[in-house]
Amino acid sequence: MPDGYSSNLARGADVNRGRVVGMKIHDCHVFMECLLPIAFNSLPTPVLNPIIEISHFFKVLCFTTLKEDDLTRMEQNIPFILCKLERIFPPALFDCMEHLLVHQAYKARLGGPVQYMWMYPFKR
Amino acid sequence: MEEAPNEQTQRFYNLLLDANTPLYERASDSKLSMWVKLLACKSNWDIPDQCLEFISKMLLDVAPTNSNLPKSYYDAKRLVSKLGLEAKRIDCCVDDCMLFYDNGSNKNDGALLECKFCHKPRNHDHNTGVSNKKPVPVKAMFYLPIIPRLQRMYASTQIAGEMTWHYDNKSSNGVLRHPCDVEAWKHFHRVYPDFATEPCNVQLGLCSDGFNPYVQASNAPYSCWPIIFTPYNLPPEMCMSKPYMFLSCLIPGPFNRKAGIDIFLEPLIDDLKKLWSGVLTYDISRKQNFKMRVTLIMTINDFPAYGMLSGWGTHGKLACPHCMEHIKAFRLYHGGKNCWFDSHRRFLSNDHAFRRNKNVFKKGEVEMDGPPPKLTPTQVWNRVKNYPKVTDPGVQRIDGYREWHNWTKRSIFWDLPYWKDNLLRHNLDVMYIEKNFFDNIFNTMMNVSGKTKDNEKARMDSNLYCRRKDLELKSHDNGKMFKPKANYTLAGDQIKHVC
Repeated sequence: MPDGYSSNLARGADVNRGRVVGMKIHDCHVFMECLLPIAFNSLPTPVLNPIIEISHFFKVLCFTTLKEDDLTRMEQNIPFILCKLERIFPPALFDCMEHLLVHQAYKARLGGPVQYMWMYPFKR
Repeated sequence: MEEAPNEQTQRFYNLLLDANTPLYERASDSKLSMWVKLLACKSNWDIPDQCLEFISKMLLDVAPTNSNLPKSYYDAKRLVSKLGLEAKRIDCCVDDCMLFYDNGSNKNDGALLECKFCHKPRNHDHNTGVSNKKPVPVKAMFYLPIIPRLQRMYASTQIAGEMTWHYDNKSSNGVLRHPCDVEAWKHFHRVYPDFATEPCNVQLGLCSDGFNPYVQASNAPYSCWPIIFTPYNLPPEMCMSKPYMFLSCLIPGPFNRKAGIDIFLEPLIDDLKKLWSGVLTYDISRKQNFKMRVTLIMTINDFPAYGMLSGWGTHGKLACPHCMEHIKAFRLYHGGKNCWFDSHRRFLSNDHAFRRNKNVFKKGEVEMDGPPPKLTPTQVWNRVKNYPKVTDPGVQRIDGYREWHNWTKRSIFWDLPYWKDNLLRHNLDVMYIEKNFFDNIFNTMMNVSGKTKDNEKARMDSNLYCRRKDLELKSHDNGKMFKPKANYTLAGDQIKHVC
């Protein structure tokens, strides 16, 4: 990964106990968009596919320039991806945050690229 | 046609010219830079006042001529404050019922000595005998007026030229690079054509979030709310960068005041109203005076703050502010949490195979409803216009709260005359959604105990609501139940592989 792209994730990984600790919000962002498909490639394909799709959805949504037709397509696709996740995971996973994703592509179409509407710059 | 700057701006330029003269002949630093450096010591490293006095004395002794150096810390502060951009302190009631301030038109609370609502005193009690001292307010907020800050942007040669970027660089081919390319912006300009014709008019975004300033030292929670502005006129590389974000209010803690945040936004909204009708400003890039008008196009929040600013509460079953009362969330019987399971099929097309599937989603249910209607801003306004504001006396709960709606108040932003023509009024931060989404999925797949969403209760619920043979709890020979491994969690060695 390029220098300064994210923090050193390997430092937080605890191999023996099998968990990753101390991830900041931006690390989650990087992990979600770049590493998720690679890290979980040992899962069976029907489970892995929607996860890759959701990771790709976030990646496209966070581009600095968006295309209007892309967003319209994403708006139609995201319920389908979420339905596929619903088939796999138990109902308890689906709290409000999962649901809000349905509206995000529409919002981006109304309001412009996501980078003008998030709080990374304010958090520093 | 070139014009001379208006009186106010001219005064500022004169002061600046004076402040930029060098300290003494052939000195590298100007007067201003010396003053500011001294103040920076204070703010960056929190140096005691006495130490600054000492440093300024030391400088006075060293410099060849001492006419231009500040005599003391107080002197430096006084000189810099002449340049404008002051911060106001507004006293507020201890229980956050009201602010003691005048807005010049219909509100004259500046002279009150006790709260109108709870009758608690404004100032600390004096000890008897020292009554000639200045009264000390119990609580105060900081307000940094926004008008002079925006005017200052047009006074700078570097920034003033960039403020019309959005007007000169309109894209037409469906590529969205900047908020000015999108529907909400264009819609607003269609509704207010007189606003759109002046490229120097400013579009603002507002961001607010709570944070705890005493992270290390305190164990008691303290939540302080800064309100930050950013102008969206600037080109993408300057937009949302640090020099172009203006702190406007600093709302003191120690408690998160939920819907009551509106009370502290009052001075800000008054200023925004003034800015909507126009404020005389000098634009140095065109060398003209013009009437600057400003709109607030959206607010940026995380999910809890969304509830505070928009007035639609983000708790409970009706949390989603887009679906509103059409939501299909329900409470899990075992887990006891609200759940949005199976509320996404309705967004699919009418003939989609998933809609008729009775097995993989909720047991035996088919989905025939269409997606929830998207309300226009006018429809929303018609709903909220009769609700009480937080600042009204005797505020009560609105009827039917948590039953068929989640409105807690009429947000103060509706006071802005143009707010009901904004398509996108409040904005959720994708960053947080992504983070929470990631946490849920990651912890479930890695099977982190305590954080995974796939615990015994979840399995019991999934048994109740869906047909999932593989997720059922099984019993050991000794009668204890156990959770068979699901296909979405990783086995022990696979988890190690991920790390």
